[in-house]
Amino acid sequence: MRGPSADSGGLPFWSSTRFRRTLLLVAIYTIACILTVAFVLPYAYAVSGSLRKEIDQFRVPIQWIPPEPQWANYTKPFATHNFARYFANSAFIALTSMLSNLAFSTLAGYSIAKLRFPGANIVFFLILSTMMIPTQVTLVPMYIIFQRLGLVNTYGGIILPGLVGAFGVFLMRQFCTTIPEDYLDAARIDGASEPHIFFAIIFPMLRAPLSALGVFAFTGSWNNFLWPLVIVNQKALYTVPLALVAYLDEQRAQEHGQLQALVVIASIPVFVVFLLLQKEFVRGASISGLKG
Amino acid sequence: MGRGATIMTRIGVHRRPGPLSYRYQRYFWGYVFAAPALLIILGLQIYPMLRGLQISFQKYDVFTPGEYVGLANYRWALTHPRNLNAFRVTFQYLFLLIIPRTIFALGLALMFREIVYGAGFFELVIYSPNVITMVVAGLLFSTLFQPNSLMDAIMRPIAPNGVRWLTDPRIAIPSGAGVMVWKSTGYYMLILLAGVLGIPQEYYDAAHVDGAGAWSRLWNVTLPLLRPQMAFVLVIALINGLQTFDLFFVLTGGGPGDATRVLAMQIYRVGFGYLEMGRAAALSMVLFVLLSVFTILQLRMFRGESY
Repeated sequence: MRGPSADSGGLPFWSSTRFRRTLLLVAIYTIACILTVAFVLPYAYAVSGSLRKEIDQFRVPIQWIPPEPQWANYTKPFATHNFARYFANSAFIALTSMLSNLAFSTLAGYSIAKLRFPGANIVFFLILSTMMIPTQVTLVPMYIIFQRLGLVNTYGGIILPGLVGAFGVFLMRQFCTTIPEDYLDAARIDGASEPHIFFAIIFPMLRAPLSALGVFAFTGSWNNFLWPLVIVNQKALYTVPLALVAYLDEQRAQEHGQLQALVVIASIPVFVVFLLLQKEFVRGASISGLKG
Repeated sequence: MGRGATIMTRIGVHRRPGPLSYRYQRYFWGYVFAAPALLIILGLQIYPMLRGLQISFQKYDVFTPGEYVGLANYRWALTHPRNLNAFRVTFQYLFLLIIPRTIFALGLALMFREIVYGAGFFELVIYSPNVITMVVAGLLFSTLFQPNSLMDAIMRPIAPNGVRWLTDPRIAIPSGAGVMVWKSTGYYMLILLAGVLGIPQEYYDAAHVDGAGAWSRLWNVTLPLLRPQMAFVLVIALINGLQTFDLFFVLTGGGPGDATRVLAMQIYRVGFGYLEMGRAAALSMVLFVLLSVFTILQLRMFRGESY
């Protein structure tokens, strides 16, 4: 529960509890406002910097409102680099990864929780045990395997490792165990086949965890950097993070206006999605938090 | 559906109904449904893990077939000065990141517990850096850490001549930790806030009646009841922190010198810079063992009555 802790009972309003409570609230709101400004400052600096002239970039004091906004900073990177393509690559890879995560995690999670085939617990344990394996640990062997299979510099090579993850299966399994068995029994008595039960009855019930997992999988793929860095060296296959780093390497300490414009462009879609799907983002965070 | 449910309840059967054929059909589809995820995870997680273990005992440079060298790679991983430096730098980073961030996130959670109006807005703002791509955040701060840029402007009252945020070997790691505090405190705050809001008000009222002050309530009510969330937060923080790569790759590239060459970057450079795949694999196995040990230790430490 949010809000005041102890009630001051029947005491008059000038009682010390009440007064201290007000003081506390004033302090909290003051600190919260200061922190808000502090957290927003880097964004604000990037937005203003993206419109600044190069010679005004690091002037003292900071030129917060550029007198002549340099809108060209936003168009120049696109003229010299194929950022449209990189955004399309990232979107395609993240969408594929999201859809496959949703499909495979749900199928497996439901199957482990509700169909309880012999060995279901072993399968679950095997999948869970990979939750602890980070990218860095399988980086070298994965590269060697993918090189053998001819997957270096292919979309398949980027996408494959992210097709499904232990976390998604775990999440869907936890959710599916809460579905009452009666639904399934009833449908079976009525003669529904198992796939029919899954697609017609179970799937529609899973909207909340599906949307949380969808956001989780999409952002995970969109933000991924180390694996694409290893498996791709052709510009045509660059994702946004790779392209940005390549751009930084070319421009190091030269075109800060354009660099900040790219930061703004790369952040806007993410913020828009975040504002639209806040609940899913937060739910994803809190679901993973509940399962210590 | 409703009809079926009634019959089922009346005859007192709640699970596993019907003749054997039902059950076998269920098993069949169970295997079919679980197969894709299981095969993918076997092929792309468990097999590479085992293959990595094998490679860690080999000298392997991609071009020629591997050649077994016993424990040489592990000896190298645990004694080479550059690796020791990577361990040192990584732990320094973890220390500078996790302790301040956890305290900060806990403070925010306790603060936002007290207020109703505007809490959602403040939480949104503080959480927002968490959604941007790590590489983009690194890019942003590579500008903010420039001489006379925002960070210098903020620190001017204390350091009028500017700070060499990324070029002073003693300051580069704290700078990186600072970026991460900005980026990820919101996430930890949300988890701790969910825990704090879940503590029943009666406990505080009871403590109040017993004459416990604010400080005593924090130590004797809030923190003990937050144990599960604290354990989770610390485990996740360690797991994420040990894997740090993007941040320093963008900000410093591991420099100045080797001052920010964290473990993950050392693995990357050894494997893909020098093509010493066997050594890189051994080093990543060490990373894996570290991760496992810390996780188990932390879960042990925080397993209390409330867990």
